[in-house]
Amino acid sequence: MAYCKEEGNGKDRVIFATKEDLESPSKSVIVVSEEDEDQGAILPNGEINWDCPCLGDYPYGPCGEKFREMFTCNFYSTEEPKGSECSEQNMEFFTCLFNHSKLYGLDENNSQSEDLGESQSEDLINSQSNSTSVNQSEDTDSALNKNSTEMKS
Amino acid sequence: MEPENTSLVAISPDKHTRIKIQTRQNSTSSTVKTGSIIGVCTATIIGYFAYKKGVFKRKPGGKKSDGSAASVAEEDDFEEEEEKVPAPTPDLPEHVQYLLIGAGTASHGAMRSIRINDPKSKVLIIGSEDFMPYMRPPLSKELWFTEKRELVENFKFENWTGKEISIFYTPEAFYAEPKDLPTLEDGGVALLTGHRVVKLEPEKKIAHLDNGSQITFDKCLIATGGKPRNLSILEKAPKEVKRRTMLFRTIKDFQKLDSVLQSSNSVAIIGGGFLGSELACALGRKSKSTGLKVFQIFPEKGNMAKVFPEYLSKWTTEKIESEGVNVISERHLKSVSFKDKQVQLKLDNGDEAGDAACFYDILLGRRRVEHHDHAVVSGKLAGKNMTGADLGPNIGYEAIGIVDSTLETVAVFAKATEEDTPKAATGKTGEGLRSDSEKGTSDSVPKTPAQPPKLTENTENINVPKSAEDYGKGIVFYLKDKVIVGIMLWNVFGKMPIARKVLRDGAENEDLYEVAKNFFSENKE
Repeated sequence: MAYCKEEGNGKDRVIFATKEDLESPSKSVIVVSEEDEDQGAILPNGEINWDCPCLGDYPYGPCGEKFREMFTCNFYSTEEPKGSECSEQNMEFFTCLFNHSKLYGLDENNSQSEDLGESQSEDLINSQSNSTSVNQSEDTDSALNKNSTEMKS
Repeated sequence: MEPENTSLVAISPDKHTRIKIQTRQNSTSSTVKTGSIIGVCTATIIGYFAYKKGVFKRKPGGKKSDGSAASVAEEDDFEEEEEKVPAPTPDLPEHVQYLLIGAGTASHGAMRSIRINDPKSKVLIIGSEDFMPYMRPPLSKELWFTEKRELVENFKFENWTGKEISIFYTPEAFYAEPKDLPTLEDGGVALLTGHRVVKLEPEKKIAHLDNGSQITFDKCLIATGGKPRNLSILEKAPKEVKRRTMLFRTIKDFQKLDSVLQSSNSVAIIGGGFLGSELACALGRKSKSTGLKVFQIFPEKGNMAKVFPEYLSKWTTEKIESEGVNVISERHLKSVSFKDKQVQLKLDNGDEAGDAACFYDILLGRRRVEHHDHAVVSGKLAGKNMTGADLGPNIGYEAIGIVDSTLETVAVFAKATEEDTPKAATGKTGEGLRSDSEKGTSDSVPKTPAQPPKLTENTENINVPKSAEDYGKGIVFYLKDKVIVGIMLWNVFGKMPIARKVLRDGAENEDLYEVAKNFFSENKE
């Protein structure tokens, strides 16, 4: 179904195919597993992926440690309501944000961090329990969808 | 992760100065009127932990500063600034846990990794430029496409959604003061700009700075990156020419070029590789609104000829020409002079390769020469490094591994749709830059793929592409002894992880058409 052509005195082979041809299942032995693709906030083994771009610079910024403690506590919480035992961690984290208001504040100079708002992290935590509240903002959409899919599996 | 490239840019500092470019071939000469010459070179970024030479070398002797401030360059002039006396250093701690020498992409990536794996870590980054770590690709792409001056001057550009993206990886407030680093309970990252480490004592773990201060460390990373390499012709050129010559790599270089081009009527880029072609394209596009004449000069037959198989190089060259660039291929820079308000570029198709004019080593190609160990010379190791370019918003390519056009290649192409452009890919993956996810922002609106056309019943009726237009989207495998050692993704985005996997496996004895299919499958959403 594909058409082949030789160029460069036979050195270079070119195969032309239609999109459908190419989207059909591959018979190649190379199996591209989930690990090879970009990860979301949750790794296949269920752990938090601190490297996820969707978490912005929270995991490695000045409030990194506090963020991780807060996020971890809420994420693994099995209490009802979820995260209710994490008030200390939450407080510490928000205090840190407050102390770094130049970086995390909501004034216009911080448009970069602003997008990676607390609400995004909350949604990531909440969606693990299949909460229906989904933040529809442009900034969180894709990260959220991706992570919801992974978490449901 | 760019290949080493020699590209030179020539522009006219004012409308009255012109360059005459003479080419000699079969006794005919052609004159190209451009302005002064600017040398534009890219540098090799040697992998993730760059600069394998170990101890940081002292900057080679050049102009010594007489202690005064940098000489004021003439407006529109590329006069090299005298070496500045380093500004007094803000208080540094005596000791730091992690010392990162260099404030570029590699350091930023390392910082992220360190902070993520060691959450309370304390990191000090020392960079010689006066800027925070930033992304380099926009300097030859998006910053030229941006119309709004106030954005460009603040190193910002608009992505496809109209959102402003800064080229800096983080806001300034991200960084702590170096002196505060030891006392930060949860650690942090401090940045020292405008300084260099001039000596390192690895056993004693001491780093010496250019202003005499020193700092001890637990761990140190040298990630100083590469420097552009000039052409000897230009290094030996008369002063009037050198004044109008520049290398291109940094923000400062971008600022210089941007400023000079405001009042120029022409520019010539020497070099036909990744950066030269990308920059030529960006300036070519700009030229449509400003009337700037853009030339690109190189000795190969076509753009990217050292990387792309010939048919693709030919196609690329035509595309770049359609972007408004006057491509002058198969020409060396033979000599350069300044006469009658004209900078003269004499081009030759002779083998005056002594000047090493316009040749470039792909990083990986060079490695291949230096390392005789066959085990090292494989796609595996080289596969750590990725490079690529965008030629305007409609052509984008990424390459990984050993992508040398002298290798045997097998390519699989599909006709592209609107979806298959760098511009569209930026939206899909939510990245501010098409090929750069290091920024880590996510602001995409997921796009639904266009409906594919219906399959025809008759499989014999496949349209045989006649025109070059049909290199819409595809994969080029570079083979050495039947093993894939390099992969080029042509308008295929977000598939680097798959490319890496294929490279690791080598795909020996595989049907490459089937292997290629892995790159065309729809993303799982």
